[in-house]
Amino acid sequence: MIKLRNIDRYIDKRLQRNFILKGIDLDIAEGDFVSIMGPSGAGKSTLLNIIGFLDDANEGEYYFLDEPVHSLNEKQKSEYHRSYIGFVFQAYHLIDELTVYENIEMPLLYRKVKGSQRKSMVADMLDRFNIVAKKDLFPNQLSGGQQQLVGVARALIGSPKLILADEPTGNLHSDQSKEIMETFKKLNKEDGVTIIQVTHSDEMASYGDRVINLQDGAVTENNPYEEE
Amino acid sequence: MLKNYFKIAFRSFKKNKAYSAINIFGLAIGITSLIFILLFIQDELSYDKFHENKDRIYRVTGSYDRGEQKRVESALTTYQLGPQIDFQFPQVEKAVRISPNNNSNFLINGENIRQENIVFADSGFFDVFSFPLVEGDKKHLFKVANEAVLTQSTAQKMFGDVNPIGSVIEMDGIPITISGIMKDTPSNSHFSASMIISSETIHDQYPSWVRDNWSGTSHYTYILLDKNISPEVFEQELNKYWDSTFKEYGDLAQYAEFSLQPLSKIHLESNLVNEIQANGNLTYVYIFGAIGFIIVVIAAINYMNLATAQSLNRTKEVGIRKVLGAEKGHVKKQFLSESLLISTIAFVVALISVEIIIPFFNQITGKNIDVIFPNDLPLIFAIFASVLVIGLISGGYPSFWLSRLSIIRTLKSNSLGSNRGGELLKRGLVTLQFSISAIVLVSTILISKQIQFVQNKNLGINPEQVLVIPFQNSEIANRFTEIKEELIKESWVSSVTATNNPLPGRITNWRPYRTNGSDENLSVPTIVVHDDFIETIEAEISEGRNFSKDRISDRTNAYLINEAAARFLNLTNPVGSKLVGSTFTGNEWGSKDAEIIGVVKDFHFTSLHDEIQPVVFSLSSEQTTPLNNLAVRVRSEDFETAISGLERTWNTFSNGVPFEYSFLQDDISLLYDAEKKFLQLFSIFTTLAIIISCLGILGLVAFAVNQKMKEICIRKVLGADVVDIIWSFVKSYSQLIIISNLLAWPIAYVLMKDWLEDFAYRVPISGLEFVIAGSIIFLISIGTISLVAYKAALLNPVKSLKSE
Ligand SMILES: Nc1ncnc2c1ncn2[C@@H]1O[C@H](COP(=O)(O)OP(=O)(O)OP(=O)(O)O)[C@@H](O)[C@H]1O
Ligand SMILES: [Mg+2]
Repeated sequence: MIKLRNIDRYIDKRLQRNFILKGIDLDIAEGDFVSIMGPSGAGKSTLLNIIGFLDDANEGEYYFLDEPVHSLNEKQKSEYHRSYIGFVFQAYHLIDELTVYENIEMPLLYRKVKGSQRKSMVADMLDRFNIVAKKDLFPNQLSGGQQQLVGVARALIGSPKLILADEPTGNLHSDQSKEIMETFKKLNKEDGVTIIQVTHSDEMASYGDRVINLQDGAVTENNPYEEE
Repeated sequence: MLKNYFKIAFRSFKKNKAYSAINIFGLAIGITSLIFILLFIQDELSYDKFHENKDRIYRVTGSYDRGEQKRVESALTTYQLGPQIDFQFPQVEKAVRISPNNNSNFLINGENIRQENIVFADSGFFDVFSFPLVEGDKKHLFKVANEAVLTQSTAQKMFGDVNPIGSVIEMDGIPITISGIMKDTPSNSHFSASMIISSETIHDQYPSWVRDNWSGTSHYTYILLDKNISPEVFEQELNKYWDSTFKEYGDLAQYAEFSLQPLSKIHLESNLVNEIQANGNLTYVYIFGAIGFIIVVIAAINYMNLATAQSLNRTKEVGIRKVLGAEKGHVKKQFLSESLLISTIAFVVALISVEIIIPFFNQITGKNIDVIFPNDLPLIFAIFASVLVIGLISGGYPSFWLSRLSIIRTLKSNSLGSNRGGELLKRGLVTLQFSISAIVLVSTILISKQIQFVQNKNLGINPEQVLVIPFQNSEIANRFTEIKEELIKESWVSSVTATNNPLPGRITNWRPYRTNGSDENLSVPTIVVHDDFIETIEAEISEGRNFSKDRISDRTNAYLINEAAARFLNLTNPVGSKLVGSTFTGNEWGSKDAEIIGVVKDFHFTSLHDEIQPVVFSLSSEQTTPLNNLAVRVRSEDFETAISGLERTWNTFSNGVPFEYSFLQDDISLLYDAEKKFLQLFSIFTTLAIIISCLGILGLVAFAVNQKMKEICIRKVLGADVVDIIWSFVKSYSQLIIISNLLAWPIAYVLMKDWLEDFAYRVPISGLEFVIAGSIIFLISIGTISLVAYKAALLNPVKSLKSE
């Protein structure tokens, strides 16, 4: 599904070139549950952003579903965001002015889903995450964990093939974290959704079936669990 | 999707109430002003357009020779011109003469009623003009003498609810039958009338110079031209006919040259001597148009600046939307529709304000504009369309900018920083806005200075404590000496005089004069005055002496002239010179060869728009034109005693004609009515323009301060003084204000110089106006800035750092 070849991401500063990512080769198959780990500043978020088309690599090749990403135009990238890729962020990134219900509904608006269908889809999500009672509240009226549930619900409502999660549980207590991880695991196993998450915690990583270790912009360790 | 956009728009308005209020309010003021200005212009342009035959109606005007190559362009023509045209030119469907009479007394059912604004008109009046008749048949109207058509309000005033058709009223003993009722003349007609009386009725009353003398200027002549004839061609034919008819008279042929004036151009473009009523001024229409445009530009700039500033708050939302699959187009559409929503709300607020303010507007402008909704749907749609365009243009930049932001930058929130291009644009727009405000303010200051100057300029006379009483009819005028005798007995009377010419007013009665040894006649306007004229108006004798009551010979053998006349007549030593002139009683010409006994210092009889005319003053006698106005100077400000005393005396001589008076001072300031109204409107709109500008500045500064709140707090924690913090804001805006003033001044100078050219007497542009305007703008905006910054600087730093 994802094929990275010799990816470089750097920032030019006057005479000096600072590499954030250097020579990344990576293959991720459909149905994988991958955790990216590594110290702070290693380039994990940058890698995830490149995978999710939020950022562009400076060098190298990236194929998404066998399509060369550098030849995709903005419209096509938006199309992938609408129907293939769901994002979950550490800072939740909900829209403050919209209610829980409206936040979850938002991706469907861009996919031009009909009103009645939208209603039932959102109702399903609210049900699934047990937040029906909160549907008319605004994000600032929810706890962090609840906000992240909404974030996950919003990512899932478009039935994406790929979920990219950047420290989804970074701000949460362990109970809340577990709930989110269980959800991911279930999605991965039952629906075959590919999941790539960035995490600092071995416990969270253990929900996945593959770990990629990143150090100073390079992959140092790949698939430790499979080797075990 | 639109619903989602509007929902989020409404919620973010609510979240930023102050900002949204400023934004909507500023835009609404702009649109309100625009609507009023458009209504004003629309009304000015609509004058006389209601006549069905408007494209074929022309007024014949004359250019008359006054000797020495001086010509007078007058709206009046001779009494005989109308019938001549009717008789000689088949290409003219109808010619009608009109002669307004400012007031007359009518005997109605034994009661004396005074009526103003009467118009005498020929029988074709209702064929040429389309004043709708409520009763009566225009086919038969005015075929005979002694008929009148009343307007509805006059009928109500004279007869109450009784149908007046067929009733007979008396005007100076002449019986007149009411044979029709017309709608009141609309306010957008270049002349108004309270009743129309057939010309025939007073034919016999006209003095012979009006009736038989072909060179008199007494009537307005309008023609309805055949549609296949061009006015230029007819104009030539008319002048050719006139010249050939009067060839043998020599002088008379060259004396007059006629022109045709399209009816629809009279109100805005005609500025002749003896206009029937005060006209509008095309320049003012242009100026208001320009101000409307300026206000809209300021409001739009404001809106754009505030929306751009505010869009910084929305970047995160844009990032999220893009992550969820929004394309650039979606983002643009969202923010444009938000901008359209704000414009629409502002438009609705503006419409409501217009409806509320319209009565005041009418009061100031003297117009009669109806509530516009739903009367004027095309105008409303046109304005709404322009409002949407304004919304699109001013919302365009922020939405364009937002749509191009990269997702990562927006989601990293705090690292977004400023957008340099936007910052530059914003500063540019603020500078432009300040410049426009400065231009507008300088103009306001100069215009009000000029108008005050005009009103306070030493007129050369002292109009205070002078009352003017029109004689109203010849019977009363003939008893002037008796009236005067009675009045000077009163302790409150200082002096009494009378003139033939209205005070103040354009001096007519052009008479031919010849100086010693010259054989050329020069026309000079003449005022016939009674004793004590110079004393009553407190004019000054600069050379020679005043008329004297003790010298009987002064009555027939003395002239006073003003300085302008001395120049006009080329007299270096006027006192003692002989002047061969003529007198005219209204029926009979006579000659008056007399000596110039003194020179009167120039004073203004008309508005300061006009240069002072040459004038000859002649003492009233049996041979001179009858007197029309009584003027009384009273000793004190106790006008109540004076007025009631005057009325008592009046009643013993007037035979029931009601007493009328006015203060000379008021009559003089009426001459500047148009300017005053203009100034009033102009000041209102300029104030609004400046308020909108300040609102914009307020919004921008408040926003900038909010953005920098964290910085302010950190600086405060680090020990910065409140003053330092305020100073940092003041400094960055002061530069803009100074630059914009420097840009504005030359433009304002050129504009104002041009406007002042219109006045014969004008204030100098001293430069002080610019400094004052600059200072006002500086103080207002720096005040605003300091206030906002001060409030921010005083906040508890711990509290606001926490909330970050
Ligand atoms: N726009 C940028 N300009 C300069 N340097 C950048 C930029 N974005 C990221 N970096 C640098 O790239 C490196 C990798 O950043 P990245 O956010 O990917 O790290 P990370 O592995 O996600 O760290 P963390 O675990 O703290 O989230 C960091 O050293 C960061 O300073
Ligand atoms: Mg990171």
